[in-house]
Amino acid sequence: MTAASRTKSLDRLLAAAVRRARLADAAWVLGRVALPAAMVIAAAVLLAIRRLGAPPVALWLCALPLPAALAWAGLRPHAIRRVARRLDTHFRLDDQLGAALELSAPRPGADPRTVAIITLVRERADALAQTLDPAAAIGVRVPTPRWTDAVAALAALAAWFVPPVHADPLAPSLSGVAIEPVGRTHAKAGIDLALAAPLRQSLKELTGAKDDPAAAAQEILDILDALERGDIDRAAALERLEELERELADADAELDAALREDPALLAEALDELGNALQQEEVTSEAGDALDRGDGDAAEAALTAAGEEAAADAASDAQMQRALAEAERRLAKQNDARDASETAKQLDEAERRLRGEEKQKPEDPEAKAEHERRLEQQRERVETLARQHERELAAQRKVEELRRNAKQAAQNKAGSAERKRQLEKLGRGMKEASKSARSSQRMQGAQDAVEEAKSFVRRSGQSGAGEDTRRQQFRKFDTAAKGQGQQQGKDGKGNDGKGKSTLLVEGKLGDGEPDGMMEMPGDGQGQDGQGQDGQGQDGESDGDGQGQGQGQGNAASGDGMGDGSQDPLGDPSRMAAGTTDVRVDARRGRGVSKAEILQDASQHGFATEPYRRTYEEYRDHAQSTLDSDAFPSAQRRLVKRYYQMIQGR
Amino acid sequence: MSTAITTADTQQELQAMHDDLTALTREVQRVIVGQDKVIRSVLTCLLAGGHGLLEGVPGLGKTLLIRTLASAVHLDFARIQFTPDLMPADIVGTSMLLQTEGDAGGRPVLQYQAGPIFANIVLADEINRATPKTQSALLEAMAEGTVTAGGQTRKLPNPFLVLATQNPLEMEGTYPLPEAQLDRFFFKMHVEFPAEDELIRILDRTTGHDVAEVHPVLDATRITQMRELVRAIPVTDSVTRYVVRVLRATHPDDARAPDMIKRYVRFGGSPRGAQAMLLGARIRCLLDRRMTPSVDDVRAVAAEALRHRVILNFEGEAEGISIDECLAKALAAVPEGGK
Repeated sequence: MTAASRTKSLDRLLAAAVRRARLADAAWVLGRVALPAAMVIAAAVLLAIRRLGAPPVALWLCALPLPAALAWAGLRPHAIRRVARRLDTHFRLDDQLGAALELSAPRPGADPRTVAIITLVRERADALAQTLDPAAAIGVRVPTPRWTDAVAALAALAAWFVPPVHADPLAPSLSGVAIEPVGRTHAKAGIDLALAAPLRQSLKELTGAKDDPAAAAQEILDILDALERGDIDRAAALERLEELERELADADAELDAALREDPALLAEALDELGNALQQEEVTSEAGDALDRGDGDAAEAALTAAGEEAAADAASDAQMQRALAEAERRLAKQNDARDASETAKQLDEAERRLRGEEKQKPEDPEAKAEHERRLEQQRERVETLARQHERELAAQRKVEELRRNAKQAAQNKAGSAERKRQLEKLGRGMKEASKSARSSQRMQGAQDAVEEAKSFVRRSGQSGAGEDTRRQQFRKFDTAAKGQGQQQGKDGKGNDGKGKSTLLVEGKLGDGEPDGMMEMPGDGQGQDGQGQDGQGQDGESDGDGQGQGQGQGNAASGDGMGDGSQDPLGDPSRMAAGTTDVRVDARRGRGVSKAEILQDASQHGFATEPYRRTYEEYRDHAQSTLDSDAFPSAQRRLVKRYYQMIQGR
Repeated sequence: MSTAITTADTQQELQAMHDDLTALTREVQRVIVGQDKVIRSVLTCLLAGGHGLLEGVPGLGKTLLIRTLASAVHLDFARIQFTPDLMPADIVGTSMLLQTEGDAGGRPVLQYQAGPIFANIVLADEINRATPKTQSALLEAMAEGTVTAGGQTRKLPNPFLVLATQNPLEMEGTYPLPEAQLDRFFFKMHVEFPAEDELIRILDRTTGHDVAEVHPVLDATRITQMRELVRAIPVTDSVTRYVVRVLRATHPDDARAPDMIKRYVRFGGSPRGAQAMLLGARIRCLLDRRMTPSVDDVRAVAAEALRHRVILNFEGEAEGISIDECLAKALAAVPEGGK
């Protein structure tokens, strides 16, 4: 019998002891480590689910400590010698098992008696191994609970009762729209500026040139990005925005001083001119360029159109029609926007100034008030005088364009005179476009700075209301991008039997809008003509003596009501014998704008018909904003409204 | 020689050795009451071929123990009572001028007269009473097993065992053994005061008419055989490593040494201390009918093997630090099976 064969029992005993040790390890680590760890993880995951909107599947993380503990117990190395020593100690064998294990091979050249003794040692150990039970030496016991286990259990229990922060009462109406919980998409320690998406869109459009507004727009974008990433805080962002505002104010003053024509009049005239040119194929490219505000491209396209007309009789006919239409529209424009309205206001202001100057109050307090009103009146007279001059200059410019168009239309195709007139028309278009556009862009940049400041100020707000607002906005933004449950179908309206959602930005005070209100309706807005009985609290500028003060004190409403669930609107409050009449919209061929808007409100604003309709409405609003002395808060409100409903 | 035969023979040999040692112990215990640990230690010295130093107050039977052992092993025994006027020649012998007769023609010749050192078992009683010069006369005998006198080196009989005694109380007129000589002793044994029941048995045995007779059970040849068998006992690497670590732990400059060693010990044990521990562990396992020593065996003999080899510093001496306590700390600082 060899020495190796004689230790089979010992080997079996040690292998059994190692298995037993692993079992004991597993029992210990499960009770002492894995169970409390699982409870702590459960508490953390429950908190994440309830407060941060983590998915419920994260609860599987609680099971992680179990395989980890078993893996540790199964893979932890157990030195056989140490196990043998443990058995020797328990059974008081004076290291006989361990020595037999260690003396497996005698050294070469050892004393024969040493070899014999080694053999005897191993035989003895093997005989002992047959009588030993490793379970007696290596006990498997579950550790007794400690206070830390109780703390872990209490934490898990407490987390179970944490109420969810994002209880979503609108869930039924938002089915199919992915609403990402706040905080999950912005895990970084920045500020969530999800609401600033429309502003960013407008700023990106502003950056497409090389002027002060473009640089300012880029700067604002950079500030918003840095704030969102957490590179700067709100105070730093506000500081940079205010600095930018001051720079823009300086640039605006310079531009204002250099401005000779009224940009609003020019813009309207160019709009008419562009529409006229778009009606004919040969000049449509020039019309499109004017529509985009690109004067250079419009001039080049008009020159190219002239050359084409010179070469082709059909094109020449188109050219003549386009120029005649342009001449007609420009003449109409000049007639419609008569500068005499401003002249009347100027005369009235000068009359009031003279009246004020004649007054000589004795009381010091009344005298100070008189001085203040006098100063205001002088400023108004100066403003109106400057505006009058600009309108006159703009009218002259429009008249010049009209004359150029007329003469170009009257001259023979290919003649030098026609070419010269077309060149003059193109140059005039370019200059007028540049003049109108620069003012608009400057105003847009200033509005953007103001709006960005508003966002930065509000971005620090938190709470359930703010989170709900962000969620609503995300849904709105998703719809605006056409990423809802289905893309909007071009031109196909919905008859409105399903549920629609009307998003209204309301509850406005003196400052920025601070909330969005979602109004569930029944989707019949297409057919009804609702009258909003509560939407009358808008701006009220008084005339007469109260005019100057009224601007500062009375502008508190938003002009937008709370909406009505009745498609026919709320009944009038006037004491009259009224009768509600339902008037159906007249359906003609093709798609009505009402259908386009309703379809967009249900399926998203990304469709091309909606985009066209939107641009038409927006341009109209923009021309109004540019021409009239709108208070800045109201101007921002209107611009923001159009930003919100912009298709992206 | 086949392994099977050797195994059977060795097993018989081990059994016979154990029987002989049991018989020897029984013979000694016929005279000596109690002191089992000292008896085992003295037997260990005998089997290891090392010398023993017994320290204890007078009257504890140190001398009697050694005399009894000498009687039981049927070996030459010599007792040297160390006194301050004892000279080296009184131990190792001297050359004497003797008148010859017969063929020598009556001329006087120098003839070496062997001293008492020429015996198998030498009892150096109260060794610390002799002067260092006389003490050093033992040095060569204990280390080399030879004696050099009159220009000639003479071999001492085999087995040769010096068992010395000293009294720790009397410091007046004593000469503490130098470190070099202490290192020659295999074990230093403390002879403790007997327990109550042992004292009663001692009184019974020594105040009556009965005198116990001791019969020799071993001879020199048998002892030599047993010494060879002791050195054939296999030792595991872990035990050897443990011995080395314990020894190193007694050195104050070792990283593993406990704070007590670092603070109070001037020098740690010498390599002879490690040899003593390992040999002592081997013999201890044989006395316990086991075939390989364990770490516990090393622990059991560590104090006797190291206590005279570890030297306290001034602070340790001044504070009366016990070396045995330092050794206990060193043993505790070395884990079994540790690295």
